[in-house]
Amino acid sequence: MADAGLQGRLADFTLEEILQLIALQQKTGVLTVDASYPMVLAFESGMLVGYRDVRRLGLDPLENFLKAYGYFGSETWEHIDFVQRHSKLDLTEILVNEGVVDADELGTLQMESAQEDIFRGMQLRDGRYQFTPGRDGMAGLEGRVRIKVDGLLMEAVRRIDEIGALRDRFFSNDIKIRLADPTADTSARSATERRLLALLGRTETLGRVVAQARMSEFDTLSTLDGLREDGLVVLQSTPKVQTRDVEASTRDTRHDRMLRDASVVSIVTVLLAVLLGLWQPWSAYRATGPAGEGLQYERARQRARIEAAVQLFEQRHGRLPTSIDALAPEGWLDPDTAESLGDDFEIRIDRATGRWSVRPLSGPRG
Amino acid sequence: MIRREQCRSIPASGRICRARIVVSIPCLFVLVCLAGPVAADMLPDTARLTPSDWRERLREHTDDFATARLLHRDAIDALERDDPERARALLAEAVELDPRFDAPRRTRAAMELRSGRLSALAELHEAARDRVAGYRNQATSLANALLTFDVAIGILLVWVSVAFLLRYLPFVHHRLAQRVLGDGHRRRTARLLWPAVLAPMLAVASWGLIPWLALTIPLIWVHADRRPRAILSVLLGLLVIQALWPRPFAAVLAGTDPSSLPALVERAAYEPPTEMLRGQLRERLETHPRDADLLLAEGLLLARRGEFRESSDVLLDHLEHRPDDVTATNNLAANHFFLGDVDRAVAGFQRAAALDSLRSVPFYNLSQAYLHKLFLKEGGRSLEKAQRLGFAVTEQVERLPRGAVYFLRPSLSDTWRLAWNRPGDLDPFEALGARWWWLGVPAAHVGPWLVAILGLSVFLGLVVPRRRMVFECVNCGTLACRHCRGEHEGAVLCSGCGQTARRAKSEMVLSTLLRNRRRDAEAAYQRRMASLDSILPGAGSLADGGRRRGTWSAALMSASLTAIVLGGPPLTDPWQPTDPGIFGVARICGVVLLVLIVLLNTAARGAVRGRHLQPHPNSVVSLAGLIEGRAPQRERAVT
Repeated sequence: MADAGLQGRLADFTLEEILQLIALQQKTGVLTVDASYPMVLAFESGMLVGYRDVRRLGLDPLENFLKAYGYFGSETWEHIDFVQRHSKLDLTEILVNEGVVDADELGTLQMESAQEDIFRGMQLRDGRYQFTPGRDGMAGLEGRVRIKVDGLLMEAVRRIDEIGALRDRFFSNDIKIRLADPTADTSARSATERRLLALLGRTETLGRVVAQARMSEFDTLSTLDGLREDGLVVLQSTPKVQTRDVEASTRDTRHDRMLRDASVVSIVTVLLAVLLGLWQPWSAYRATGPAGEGLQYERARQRARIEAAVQLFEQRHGRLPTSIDALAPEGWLDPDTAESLGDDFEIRIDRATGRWSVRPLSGPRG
Repeated sequence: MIRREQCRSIPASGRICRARIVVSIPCLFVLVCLAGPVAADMLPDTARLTPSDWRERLREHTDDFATARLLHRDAIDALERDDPERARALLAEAVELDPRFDAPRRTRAAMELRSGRLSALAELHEAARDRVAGYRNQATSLANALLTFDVAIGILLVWVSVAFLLRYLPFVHHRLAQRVLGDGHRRRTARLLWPAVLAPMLAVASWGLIPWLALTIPLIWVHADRRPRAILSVLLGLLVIQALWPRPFAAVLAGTDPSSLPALVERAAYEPPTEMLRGQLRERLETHPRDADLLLAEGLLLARRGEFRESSDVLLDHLEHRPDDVTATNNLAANHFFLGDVDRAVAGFQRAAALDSLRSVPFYNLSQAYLHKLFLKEGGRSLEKAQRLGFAVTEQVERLPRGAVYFLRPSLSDTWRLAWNRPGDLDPFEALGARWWWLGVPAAHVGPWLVAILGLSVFLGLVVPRRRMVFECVNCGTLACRHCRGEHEGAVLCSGCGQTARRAKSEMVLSTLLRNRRRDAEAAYQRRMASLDSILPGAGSLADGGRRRGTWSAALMSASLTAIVLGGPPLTDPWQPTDPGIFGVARICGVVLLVLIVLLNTAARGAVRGRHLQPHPNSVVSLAGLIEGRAPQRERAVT
């Protein structure tokens, strides 16, 4: 962008240095990072006021954070997704209005989410950044916060320092973690540690624990590391076992049954309909109606038409036509009509008297 | 004798007066002797003709009807050969031979208009009026109007039933899926059931119109609300009335049935009095020997053939049944006149004039008979009376060639009386069904079928009321069955809205979700209606509860389709059969009207603001699963 305030590559100028600059200079504006982990950070007088730009689809750090660390159950997320899909409410509004969290809890969650966001951003080594000064870029920004950048930076730096050692110990998400002594007294432990220990009673692999711990990955790993050092949990590497989804299997079976039922009903009905369409008794009923007044009326009109044509022919030529078909060539009757009427009527001439008449050949049609 | 004394007493002026009288009488005698032959030459020479002479002249005269048509035909040929002068001459001759024949007048007026003479518009208007409302054309025009009306109603019924079926068929599909698959409407598998829903419709459609109506109308009736029911019942009722009470229609159609009594009576008065026509009258008289109207018609026919004596016998026979019949009395007197029995003719005309003193023709005939006898005073008086009564040569009088007196023809009221009293009730379906198989049932059975359809629909409407079949969502208007309807705080909602309402935990979210859902439904409805309108012009509006635009579009569409299907009037004059061809005027007008409707609908589509109609949200229907909203919902939308 030609009028951008500050832009460049993260390889030259890291996010840490940029944030320090903004905080120090108490800048107001929007910092956009275009990298493998895209970020949008809004600042006001050096304070972080927004890190979620919901105008960019699929990039809501708060939602990702809450979903990644198992803050809410699947039903709650289904409900939140449903409300989001059918309304334009922001995630924070839905969470508070629907009573999922209260305002204080939401503040804490946003703080942790922002911390995670900055932490991930500071690990980026490649990409481009762009700082747009002013408030223009902040229009429509939802879920505003007010967080000091200094604190975020210090915590992020600490995490970057420690995360390497933690990942060495917890090298795979498939690592199996189990309680060393399930009957051990944990009342002296903190609430976070007790929640993790309770979680370990239900699930074993590290990945699942992290996904349900309701705190960031760094916090989970560091807590587990502390528990490991205290001898409360034991790490054990095991191969991943593929489990069959019983629910999905049931759903497939039911789907197959419905498919079969629907196909059978449709095929049978279509065959019946074809038979009904071709049903001979109905066709016979339709074709052989009683020789009512309508037929007599039609035949009387046809007869009158032939008589008129014969009279005109006779007057023109001074003789009678040999047959009804003979009326067609000169246009006294059109050829199709003459052909069809010729099958039903005849011109009968009394040679003795010279009188003529038009008579039906047989009874009424049908 | 005047005495001498008296003569002496007569004044001079009196003597002069007497002398004048004495002189003037011989002069008058001489004048009469001289002027009489001249006056007789000036009078028509009919008095000198014998009945055989009359017969010869009649032979030429009675062919005028056919000759006029032949000349008209020759004129058309001349026009095709690009010989307008010859065509003009032939047309003029045709008009002169049969002034009641409107076709040459129309052709001539059209020629004049083509050459830029706008004065021909008056003649065209008069000819067109005669074509529609002329004495002999009236029955045909009326019958054509009724038959065209019935065809248009039939097409309109099909159009309306298709539109409403598109609206309610998704609900039928939904219920079938519910029954077969058990809540199957939520799944895409339910699409497989569409052939099962459509197949019966296609099967009965292949049978014909009546089976189609028999299946679709009760189906629509059960699901539809007041407006579609009203439209269907009005249309069906118009046809059912004709089936239940076909007498008026049969009376109109009798005039177009050449073998019917009114048509025979009319043909005997107008068409060439051929032996064949006489034979047909005789055939009818053999079965109805004492029918006074037939006797009167035969009397006129025989008179037109020059067989005055036989005609008199027949008319006397007729007068035995109807002694006060003015027409028969006048015609009998005219026979006497042509047979040379002028005294009896005078007596007959006097009686006819006495029977109906407001009819001018007997007075005119009487005057001619008096003049024939050189009763100048009485003749002048009768002529004056005839002129006072407005004597004119109309269609109801028949004048034999250069004959002094006129025969009376049956009047329009006579024709209608005969038609109304005609035995047998020919309904429009029989008149149409003899030619068109697509009624689907024998023509004579159409009436009972229609009555049964209407009766069945009303019965089903009473036994299975709509409120037990269809539930409407108060939010989005979606139809829901009792298996899938949802309720929230007493309000009936569709499954989707009910699910939404149950999920929302706060008032703000609830109102936002329902409002957005209604908005989505509105947008989806607009899209579907637009696509339906683009396929079937106006059908979208019609499916939306038969709104005004849809109803008008349907009526105009049926009119245009009727014009295209029929291609012209269903009935034509046997003497003047017309073959409109594929590109007849009626068909072109129908196509133009069709294009106009499509354009108007396209223009009006942008302004459509319908109710919240949409298909069942879980149904796979995408075209016209349009479901109406409730009145309170509309009121709420307005407020």
